[in-house]
Amino acid sequence: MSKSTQAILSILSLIRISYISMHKSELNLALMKCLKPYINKIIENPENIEIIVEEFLRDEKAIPLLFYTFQEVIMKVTLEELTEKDLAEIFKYEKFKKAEIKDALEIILEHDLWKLKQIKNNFDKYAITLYNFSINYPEDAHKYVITLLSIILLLLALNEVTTHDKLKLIGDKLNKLSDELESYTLTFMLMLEERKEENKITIVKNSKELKEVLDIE
Amino acid sequence: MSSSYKHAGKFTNHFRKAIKTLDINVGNQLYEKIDDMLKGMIIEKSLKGPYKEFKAIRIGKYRLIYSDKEQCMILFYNIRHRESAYT
Repeated sequence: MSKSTQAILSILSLIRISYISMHKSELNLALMKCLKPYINKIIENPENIEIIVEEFLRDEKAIPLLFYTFQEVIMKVTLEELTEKDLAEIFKYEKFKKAEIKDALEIILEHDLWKLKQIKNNFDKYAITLYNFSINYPEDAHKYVITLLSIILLLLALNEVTTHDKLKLIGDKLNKLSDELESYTLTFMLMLEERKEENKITIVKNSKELKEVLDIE
Repeated sequence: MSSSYKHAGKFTNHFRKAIKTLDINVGNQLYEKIDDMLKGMIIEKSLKGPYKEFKAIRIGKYRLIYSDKEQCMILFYNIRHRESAYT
């Protein structure tokens, strides 16, 4: 796994996009300029997203810019700023509605918010967990990076398109990728949880026993 | 009359503790889903890395995490609420 791939493990997606769109700083504009050719390619053929992202990962100009803007987001965005009201605005965005990605947005936001909480409040443990994940499961870590960057670029591409067909195509791809992202979110959550107590097992062999375990009459 | 399952179900203590926090509607949905799974209707969606042998299915805003690695046995490991509620 390349160094840049490993470093991208910590990057956020939707919160970043919102931040970049809202804050037209010199850094964000430079990043957007670098991303533009990739976004154009995605709009042309959203199905090729993974190939485009592999190419993007080799871009020595765009990757550092991505890191710097990510660091800016981490430094400037506090968890208190991300209120329910502000985040609810994301779901009202017309293009997101037309692309039918409500469920995908929830999954992406959950991933970002959880990750941001870990970075702000539980950094040591979180960083070691992700480091171990990338060292012990490099193939999965690489796929995670591809998934995350694909989502970032697809969200930016969605912002550029106007036709219903393109919105639908990008929306479909985002829905598929968010499914994959959810698996990573759950994996990281489980990896970070400490289980000190003994985990006893109860076995059920019929519906009566199942109702007893679930406490259902 | 209780029908026998194709698979036996194993429930971890964490899982049993987690379901005590669910409301009754979710409990019933959960029962139906697990009942289907133990009868042999299993949906695949694998987790990653060290949890590769675990799978997740959605039940409303919850995710049930399980493993069907053992033959004729499903281990119900955990159930988690989707963390974000910003809609």
